[in-house]
Amino acid sequence: MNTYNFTSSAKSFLIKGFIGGLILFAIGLATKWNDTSHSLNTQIIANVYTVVIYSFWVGVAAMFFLSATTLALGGWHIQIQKILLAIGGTLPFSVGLMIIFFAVFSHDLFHWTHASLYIEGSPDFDEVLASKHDYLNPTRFWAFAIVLLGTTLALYFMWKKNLTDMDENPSVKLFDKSRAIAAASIVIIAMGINTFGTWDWTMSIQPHWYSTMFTWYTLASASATMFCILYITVIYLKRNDYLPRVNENHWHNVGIYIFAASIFWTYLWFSQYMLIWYANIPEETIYFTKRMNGYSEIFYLNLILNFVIPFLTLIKRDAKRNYWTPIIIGSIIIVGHYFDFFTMIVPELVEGGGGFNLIGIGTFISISSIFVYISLNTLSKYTDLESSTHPYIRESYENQI
Amino acid sequence: MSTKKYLVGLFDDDHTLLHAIENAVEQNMEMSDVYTPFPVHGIEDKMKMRRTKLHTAGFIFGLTGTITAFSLMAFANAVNYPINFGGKPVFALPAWIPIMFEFTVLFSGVGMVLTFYYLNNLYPGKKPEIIDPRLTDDMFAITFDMTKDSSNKSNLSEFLKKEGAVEVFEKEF
Repeated sequence: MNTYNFTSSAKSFLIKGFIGGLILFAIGLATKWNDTSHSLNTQIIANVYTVVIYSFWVGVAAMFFLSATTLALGGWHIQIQKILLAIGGTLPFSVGLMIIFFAVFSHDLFHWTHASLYIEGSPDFDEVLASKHDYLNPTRFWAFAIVLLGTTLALYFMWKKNLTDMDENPSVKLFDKSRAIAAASIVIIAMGINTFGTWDWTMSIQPHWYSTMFTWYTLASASATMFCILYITVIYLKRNDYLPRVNENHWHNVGIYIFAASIFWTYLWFSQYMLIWYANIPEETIYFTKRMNGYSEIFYLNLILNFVIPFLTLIKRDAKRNYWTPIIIGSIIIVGHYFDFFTMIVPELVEGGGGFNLIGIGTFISISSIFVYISLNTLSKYTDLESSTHPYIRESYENQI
Repeated sequence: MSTKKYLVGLFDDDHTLLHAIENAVEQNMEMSDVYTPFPVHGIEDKMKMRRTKLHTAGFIFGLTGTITAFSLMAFANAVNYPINFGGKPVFALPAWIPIMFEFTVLFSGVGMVLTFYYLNNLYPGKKPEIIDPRLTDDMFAITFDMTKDSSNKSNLSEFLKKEGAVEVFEKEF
């Protein structure tokens, strides 16, 4: 059994998840229908955009991790590399959704797209934004978006083609090619997609504010989620009798990565907060003011879910090897990092609190069900689930830590 | 100082060694230690060694460091001599966290090194106990402790020879 069979019960479970999410979304809409304190339109856009951006970065993190381990001549992940590729399989869909958002809702999402801000003498004239107009303008935004999103997709399809070719007729030449793709991916993701992507698509929602740590912070957040998804998928497949030669050493490795990514995320989150707190410059503190007024519960919950809980529970070796702890903690971390992306985007658009309600919960459940469906569907297309013809497969079989 | 006596079996192949270890564990022979010139995968599991508790010691040392840094800064900055730095509160927790982190790393690092030395019976000026110089080159060794009880010496040396040891000898320190 070396091909994943996407069973109809798994499909119907995800479809039920999607419908359940839609029902929650509808209940949320109904309760907020007569509430005029926030525009319903903005709330829906902000919540859906949060989940889309979240899944986009999770896909990018999967590609980044696959590239990094391949480039470092890692061997242990070979049996589970198809899962990484399947997590990246959501990229075409999230990229499509993002382009729709940029094309249709850019005025709702991005304050700086309004032309009147840059006309001197108009009541909306903003001196700070006018000084940034050389960078923050729609032409540059679209050029960067097309290049960056196009490169993301190109890298994904190159990876997919390479690994599928390797299944059919393996050769050292193909393996060398995969290392070349890995090298290119790392540089392009780190210095191109991640850097400019986070500036354009998340940070520019608050155009007056900037942080040099925002880029890594986003990728660290997405990486922690990606490792949790990887862990849960590995255990799911293992319990359904796939991946016969994956054992506790492999998921221990993934568990270590969950722990490491959570600590790394905390380091960046805290550094960003501490520097801004210490310098106390009004244009920087505005970011945290908006998040602590009305969203303070989510803001602090974020730190508990993503740092305190994983740190205290996953620190022991046995906790990473018995798989129930990481599955429970992993689910908590996935929700926790949803809150992280939520605090990046929603408090700016739905100011003063009240942005977190059933609309957001429903969107998260239904859209993530779609993305899990797409991922598993991509996974079921691979004929060789454990990449048994890869030159490094022996190292993966005999992985021991 | 009391002398220590070991029965040493030298092997020239790691697979033979692993096999010998398996058989020794099966026959409930209590090995003193196994020496290899390079890390051999799976040897700890085969020897049924209990896992080291060095990490727990490291965690406790780290916690000590965190508490030391926190209590010193809290006492000095907030209790004993409060000074207004740029309008920040005297109990400025975010600013202390980097120092608390550094103390944690320092204490757990130094503490773990010292614990490691203590557990391995190493200290400055210790006379090295070298079983055989070839153990750092191309030989593997299984040792049995003969200090207290050497009654089953002939049994053990026979076992070692049968398992393919190229040399069996006794060593005293």
